[in-house]
Amino acid sequence: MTSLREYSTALAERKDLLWFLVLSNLKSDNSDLVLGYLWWLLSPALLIVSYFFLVVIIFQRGGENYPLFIGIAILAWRYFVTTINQSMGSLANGPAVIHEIDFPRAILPLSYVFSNLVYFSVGLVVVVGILLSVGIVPSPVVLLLPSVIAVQVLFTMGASVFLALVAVYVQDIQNVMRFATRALFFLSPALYPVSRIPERFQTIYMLNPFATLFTSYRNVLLYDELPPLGYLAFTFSVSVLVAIVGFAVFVRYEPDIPKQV
Amino acid sequence: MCVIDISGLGLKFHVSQSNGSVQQLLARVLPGLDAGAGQSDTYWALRDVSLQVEEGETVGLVGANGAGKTTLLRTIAGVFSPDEGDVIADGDVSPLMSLGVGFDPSLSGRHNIYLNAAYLGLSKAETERLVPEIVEFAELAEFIDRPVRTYSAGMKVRLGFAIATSIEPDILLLDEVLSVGDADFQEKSQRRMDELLDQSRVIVIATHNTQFVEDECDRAVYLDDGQVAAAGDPGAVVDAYTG
Repeated sequence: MTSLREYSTALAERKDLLWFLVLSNLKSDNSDLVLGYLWWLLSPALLIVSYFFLVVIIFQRGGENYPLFIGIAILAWRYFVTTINQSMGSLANGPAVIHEIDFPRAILPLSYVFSNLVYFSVGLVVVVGILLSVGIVPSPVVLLLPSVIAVQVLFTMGASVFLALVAVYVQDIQNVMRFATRALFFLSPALYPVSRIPERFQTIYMLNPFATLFTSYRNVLLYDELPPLGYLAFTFSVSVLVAIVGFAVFVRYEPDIPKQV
Repeated sequence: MCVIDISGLGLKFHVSQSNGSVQQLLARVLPGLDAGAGQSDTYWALRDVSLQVEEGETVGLVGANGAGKTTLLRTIAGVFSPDEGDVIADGDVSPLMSLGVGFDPSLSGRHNIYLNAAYLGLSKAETERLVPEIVEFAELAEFIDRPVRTYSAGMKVRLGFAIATSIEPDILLLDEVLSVGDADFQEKSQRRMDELLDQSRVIVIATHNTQFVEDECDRAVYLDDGQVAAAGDPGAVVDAYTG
């Protein structure tokens, strides 16, 4: 039975494999499409336009800088959802490699954690560009951005690896997650600010990691404010827990994976 | 000193009727919960297999299709973990089983060389040194930067073969791969195979070619339905298999 430490060493030894898989993901995601890489920006952009139309024009709600407000959250959300969706398929779809060669199989979902992080980062650069163009100059608070991203990466890593394993045994999970994440999206302050939630529920509401993450991203990029540090520390702890438990469960059942797919 | 030490190896598979029910999943995780699936749903692909391979030996594996030869090779390669017994392989294992494993068709041949080599355990630096030789051996200089989906089947096989055989493994596992590619390439690949056969410390080869087993192997094992039906002198084992 491998320990987490042994597994981390095994993963570290295979960093070149991880690198090339990430590169493969980035190249092959885009090589076949006419618009190529642009799709990764176009896709959230279209979502933003749709929600803007619905919320601002039809419902006549939505605050200042609504497109940027939701755009930042949508970008972060898509990082999470795209990664877990791709991770769930990464093992369950039975890639031939699993039956031919021995390698730390967590590398397959992990490659998506990192390739999507590249897209997320580029998206953030575009966001900063837009902020500057409308006269919002990020202050030194923005230096906290990498820390917030790191918390989300940890959470996403744990969730991806765990879900990749579950998908091997229960193919339904991919459908279940489709609905679960849709619900989570609306339960998170992506399209609306936390202030819309009745005060007495706000504390519980903020326990949702994405409530803290979206708020944090927006504070440092848009509002020149510190992230909600208490909640962020809590979310960090939750993320660490998710990462550890996710990997621990994965490592425990990993030897069974080639027999299942 | 044994390079491969297999003792009492047992490997079982669960064959479930339904496609992963939650009940079965819970039964695995929480012992004591009776899922009703029971023992009837498992079968032993390998049972009580023992084999010791010494330095410099070539061992031939014979048996009918489905007897467990590929499964045994995969277990030695570390793909499957034993349910019973032990498998100890001392050294780097290079499986020459499915060529071009992990190939991403939308990427260039060159990229796939790095990817395939990385799966086989090579570092980026090690691969870089081998790339020119691989491209030359596979005769793909013109096409190496084009996506693999534009390659013919023969080209893919040549590339996969070139990559897999450019590594110098301690333990070479071969699954019915003796001659590869079209007639022209076959001569080259035959020579490369002979080189490999000389270079590796140990070779385990699964094959239907009983002539090869008698001529080239030091020892042989006949697998029947997951168990060792005969082992030892190649001539005797081949007789047991064909008799």
